[in-house]
Amino acid sequence: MDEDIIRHFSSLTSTDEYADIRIGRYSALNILMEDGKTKEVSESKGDGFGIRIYKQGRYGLASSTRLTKRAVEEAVEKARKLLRNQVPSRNKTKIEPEYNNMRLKPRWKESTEEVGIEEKFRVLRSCADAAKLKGISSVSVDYSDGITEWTIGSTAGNIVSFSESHPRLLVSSFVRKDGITQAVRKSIGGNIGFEIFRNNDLEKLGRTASTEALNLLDAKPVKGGRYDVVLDYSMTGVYTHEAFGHATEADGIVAGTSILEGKIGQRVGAEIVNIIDDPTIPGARGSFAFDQEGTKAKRRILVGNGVLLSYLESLETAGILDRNEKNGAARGMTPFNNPIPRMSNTFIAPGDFDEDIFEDIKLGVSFYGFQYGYTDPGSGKFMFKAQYGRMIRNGKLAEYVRDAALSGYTLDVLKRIDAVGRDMRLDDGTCGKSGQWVPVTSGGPDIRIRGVVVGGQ
Amino acid sequence: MDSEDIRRVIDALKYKAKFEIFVVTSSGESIEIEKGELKYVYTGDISTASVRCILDKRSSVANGKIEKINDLKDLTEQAYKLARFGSTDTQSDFSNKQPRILSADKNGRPISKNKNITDYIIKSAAELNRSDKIYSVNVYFSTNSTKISGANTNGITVDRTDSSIALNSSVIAKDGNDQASGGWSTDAVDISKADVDENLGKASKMAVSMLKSRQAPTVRGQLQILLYNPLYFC
Repeated sequence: MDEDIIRHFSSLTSTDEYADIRIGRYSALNILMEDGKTKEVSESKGDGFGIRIYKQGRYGLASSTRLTKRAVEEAVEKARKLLRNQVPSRNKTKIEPEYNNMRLKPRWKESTEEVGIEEKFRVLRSCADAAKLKGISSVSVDYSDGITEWTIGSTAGNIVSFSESHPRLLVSSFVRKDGITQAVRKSIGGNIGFEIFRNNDLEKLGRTASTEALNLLDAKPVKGGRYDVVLDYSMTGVYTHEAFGHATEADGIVAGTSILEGKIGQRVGAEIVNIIDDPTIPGARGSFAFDQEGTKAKRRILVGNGVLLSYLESLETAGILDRNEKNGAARGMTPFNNPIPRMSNTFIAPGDFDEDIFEDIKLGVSFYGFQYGYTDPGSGKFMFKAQYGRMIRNGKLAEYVRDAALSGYTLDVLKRIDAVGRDMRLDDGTCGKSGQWVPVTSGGPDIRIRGVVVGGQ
Repeated sequence: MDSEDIRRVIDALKYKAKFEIFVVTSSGESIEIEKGELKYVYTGDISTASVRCILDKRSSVANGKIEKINDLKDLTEQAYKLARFGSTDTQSDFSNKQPRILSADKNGRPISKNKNITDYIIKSAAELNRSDKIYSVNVYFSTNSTKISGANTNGITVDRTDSSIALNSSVIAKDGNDQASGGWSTDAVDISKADVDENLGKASKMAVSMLKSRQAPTVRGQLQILLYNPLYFC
């Protein structure tokens, strides 16, 4: 039926315009448990479509939750009406989509829709109970799962259909002493079925969050200053995703809001730095088979040996920037949203540093786990707060510290990286941009950065 | 579908539980300007329902698309089945006080009927984009009208219509190799040309002012600070 709607849509469009349509059918479950009590249980289901008509450099978009041919006809008429009588744009780019015709079956082993809610509660409780160690004041566990079935078509004659499943478990352990609260969060998730919870030790996840939180009971705030720092995989990932990755999204390049505009082929980081964005990693939370313009997912080398090689492109930005690089980065949160260049699984690739990464540091800070932060891609300024840190003294990890934040200018800091470890991990998360939230991962190995501003007390 | 339709659905339910149902129909239009030029025009309509159920002091929520009355019945069944696993940390009943009746907001109009302001935004952004030291002006302007109808098992009903407008400007200023950004947001029920001028003006002033600024030094110890804009307290 979805393909009938897409074919009907194609019959309404003309050869002098580019047009595409996304149909999405979704279901989701959320459970929040705090200190053993269920705080929230909610289910959502729905479907709908979104269309775009691109003509003379402008997009007309229309969407509806009414999934009928009549609704599609009305949407096309509305989108055309919005574009009518507009002054032609200076942008004369012609969109050239990639032709694909595939219907992919789900690749997961155990659909979350076929697992009973009792079993989901059992999984959640096993993590929550294991996290409740002596000294922990509060534990919160957030379970979510959701399946979306996508069918995407365009005037190229493309029709692709595929499904995505995003189960996730997030545990937060809190400690309190002398009026100060500290928290450590751990999570597990993917674009995968319920088997992710069967194949991983959720009790260990809960215990680890709490053990690390207990280390912070007597932690003092770090003293602010300029330090040599080591970032764990989580903070490496956040820096790569937030401080650098967003600046590679080509809509920002085209709009003139990115510090990386015009820098392809230029050195932007240390020679040992390689940054990858890869939506083809099996089962990773940020992975997908096709982007939402129907372009097949591809691994992208954003930075190679410190040189900027690539942006994250949609079909239009690939045409405007004349780089002919249809690398399939257009994603939308729902079928109602406009797909824009987004990251997927973004990481600093493992290096070959196999010595003790702390050994060469007389006085420094090691950062663990991302808590919150911000980046301004237009100026390159960033600030990230870690869940906790540890001082490094004379080459050894020393006392735990809290309230440790890293700040600076993206390209300056990228050039100060002088060691990239060998063992990589990805941290799952959700990325927000222009009011749209998409599942992603970010990560890398441990990295060492010289002379960075650390905020604290 | 209005609150009386919803109340009839609730009255016909056979479950021994309490229910509260809201149906939300939202229609919106927006434009996006990129580097001083109109890039996107958007229209959309969404119709969803949310059913809350309280059963034996446990509560649950089921959300879904709504097109006809029977969709509501399916959703209530979903919420009921979920409720036995539901939250125990919740209210024991829904409201039994009829809310003040709010008149529909007559000021909010969709972009397609707000052509003067829309054209003014497009023209102003284009002019600003040609100004000295301004490299890129990006604007998002949207209008939204939302109708909410609801009812619960205590016989309470509500119908209201809300309108809203959002105007967000983001400006990049450049001077040689120096680059800085500024932004401003306005959320309102209605908008005038003066609001547009203020919004674009503040974003561009912020961006230009930040050129040649240096990074704030890291200071050990404590400093007195001043929060400039009361909005920062939000």
